Amino acid sequence: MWPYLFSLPFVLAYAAFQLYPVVYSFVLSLHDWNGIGAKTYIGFRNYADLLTRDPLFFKSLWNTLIMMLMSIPVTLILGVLLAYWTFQLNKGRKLFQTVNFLPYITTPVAIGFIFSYLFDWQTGLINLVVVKLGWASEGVYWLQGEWTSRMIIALMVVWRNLGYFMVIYIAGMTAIPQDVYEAAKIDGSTGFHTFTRITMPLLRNISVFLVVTSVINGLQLFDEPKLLYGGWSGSAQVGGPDNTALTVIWKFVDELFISGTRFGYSSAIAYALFVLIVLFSVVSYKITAPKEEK
Amino acid sequence: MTLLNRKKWIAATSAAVMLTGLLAGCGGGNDNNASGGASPSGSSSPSGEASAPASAAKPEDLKGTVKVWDWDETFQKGMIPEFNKKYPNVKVEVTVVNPNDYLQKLQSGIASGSDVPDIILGEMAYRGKLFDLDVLDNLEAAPYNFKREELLDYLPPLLSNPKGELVGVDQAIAPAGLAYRRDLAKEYLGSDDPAELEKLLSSWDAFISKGQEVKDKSGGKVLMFPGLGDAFLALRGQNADAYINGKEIDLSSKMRKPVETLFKMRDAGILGKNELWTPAWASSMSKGEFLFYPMAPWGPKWHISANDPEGKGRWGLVKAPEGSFTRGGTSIGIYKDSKVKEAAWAYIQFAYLSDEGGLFNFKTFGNMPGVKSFYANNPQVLTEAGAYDEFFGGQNLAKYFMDNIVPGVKGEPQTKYDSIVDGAFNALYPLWTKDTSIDANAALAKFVKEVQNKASDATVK
Repeated sequence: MWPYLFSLPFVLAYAAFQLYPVVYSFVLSLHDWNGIGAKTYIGFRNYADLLTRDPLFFKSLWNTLIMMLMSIPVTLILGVLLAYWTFQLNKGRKLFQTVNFLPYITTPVAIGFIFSYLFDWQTGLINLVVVKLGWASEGVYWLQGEWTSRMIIALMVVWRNLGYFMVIYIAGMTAIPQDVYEAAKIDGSTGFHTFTRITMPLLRNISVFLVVTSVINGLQLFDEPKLLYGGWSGSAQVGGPDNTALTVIWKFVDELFISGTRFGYSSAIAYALFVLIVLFSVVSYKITAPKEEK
Repeated sequence: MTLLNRKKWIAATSAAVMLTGLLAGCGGGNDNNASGGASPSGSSSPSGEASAPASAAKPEDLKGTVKVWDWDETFQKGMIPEFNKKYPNVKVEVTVVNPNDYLQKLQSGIASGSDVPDIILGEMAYRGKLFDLDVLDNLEAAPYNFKREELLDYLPPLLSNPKGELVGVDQAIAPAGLAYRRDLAKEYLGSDDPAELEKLLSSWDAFISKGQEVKDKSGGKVLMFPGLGDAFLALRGQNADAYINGKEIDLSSKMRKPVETLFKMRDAGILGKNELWTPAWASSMSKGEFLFYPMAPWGPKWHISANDPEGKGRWGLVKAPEGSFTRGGTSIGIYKDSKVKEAAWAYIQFAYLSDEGGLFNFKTFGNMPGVKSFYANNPQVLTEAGAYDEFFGGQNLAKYFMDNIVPGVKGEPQTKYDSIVDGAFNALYPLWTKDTSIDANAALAKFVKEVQNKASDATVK
């Protein structure tokens, strides 16, 4: 009796604020609704339209995956290297950790502005340098290139998450017992060899955690591209140049609030993304998790 | 045993009660709305018994609290005390809402049944979608009984929903011409007199060839428009014919001419490379890199003096070659299920339609009301100096707008697809700026494809 009573507040809150919306948005995805008028039940037509008649959905999925492929490996490798190096530091370790962690706690809006200033065509800092050094006679239009736009967004993601990855890896390294290192030292193992044979394998679980969570977060990529292109008042360019920076969530927001008012269709996008996230996290777990544990 | 059962029963009941309470809390608002919509308008104001129509009663008798969402807090802060001098018992509450979030916030408010304003603003960027949602009252029906003939002639199409009902009045008229830098015009075009410039730039072809002269004379330092976005505002707006018929969007025939002229300008090299509203674009106004900026009556305050605060006296206004257009503008409507329709209408009438409110608005903010009566009853507004005339070198802006620009304006009906078309253009013109190998035909084809992608339920050609 008592256990039920004590868990009741959570269960109720969960039912009202999590379960109900989740179920309701599935119901919504079977309807055509503009949020205000009458709902029309249309079965799975939203899903059929999404998968067969909407080229932008697949393009947005493709963009999201590309940007994840650009950012996740880089963040992982840099994160572990930075952590390893910081871990060895004797002086200034706290300061270094803090400095690297700062981007992670910066608000995305500020990051959007910083990067759109940096890469602005006419007044951007990067272009000023490029022109000053004589690499080009005129600045490069970074934000309007098919690949440069994606690279900038990947760079934003890397810059933002690097500190977080580093901190998690440092935590992992702290947990590795020192006697393992001492034993390795006695056996004649040094620097790089120790790193690849001892540190990395013992950090495997940390890596799995980081890969799976960043795949989940990566598929929900929205803040960075949206703020890079929609930061200026009134001149929001949905999807970046020729939709090369359109992510799935941005597409969802666009259908719901910017181009359309299609609550049902947007719910269908959300559910399709949900299925994809489950799929991708299982796959990424299977790929990265230690084999012998099976 | 029985005790245990009773405990279980209590727990289950309390759980059910709490859950129902929570769920009801989420959905309850809708019911309120529904009943509000069914009740006779205005009669259920907080003060109760106001059964006689507001217009017949004395202003002091009208009571209630009217909620407004507006981005222009300064305007409301100035107007509400004026309004309260006449209607002391109507309270107007303002929530500041950014125009970029306005429709989203409104939709969420209505869908969840929570906070919805009584007075709803429709900025041009989302007006078609707002009207399509069918949440605004017909202002020509009771209890408002407004007549569209009272508006300036070009306005009704801009303020009507797809059913043809008038669902808004104009916050301030937004016919547009071109603001220009007087110093640059004198130096490169030989005159800063609007009448001279009108003659000099009688057509877009003349505009383009003059633009090339300016470019050569200045060594490429001074161009005509800051970017494709600015130029297109004028070109597109001049062609105000309706092109959306139900679910058919005839984009090609509407946009061919504007896009072709736009590309002629781009290829002639008379356009800058700025996107609208970016920092580089904003700073160009004080730097003097470009001659012309499309501008409506809201522009002296929000557009020109905001970005060139030191520029007093160095700006002028001329009508655009080949005709006028509208730029931006905001409709003011009343929420269908508002409980204080009469009080809301009293405020709208005072602030946007009456002579008293209009004069205050005009003198303080330079806004020009959209009703004929204002100009008939107050001919002095077109001769006296307005709020920003000094900034524009002493030119009488109101008079120039009314006499030279308004007569050429046509209002374009707004549909839910207009924001898609505008969004598609905004997404594409930076690419056209960057890649000069794209020609007008390719651009137009891309434009059609992009709109079709987003308006999947419509046929675009």
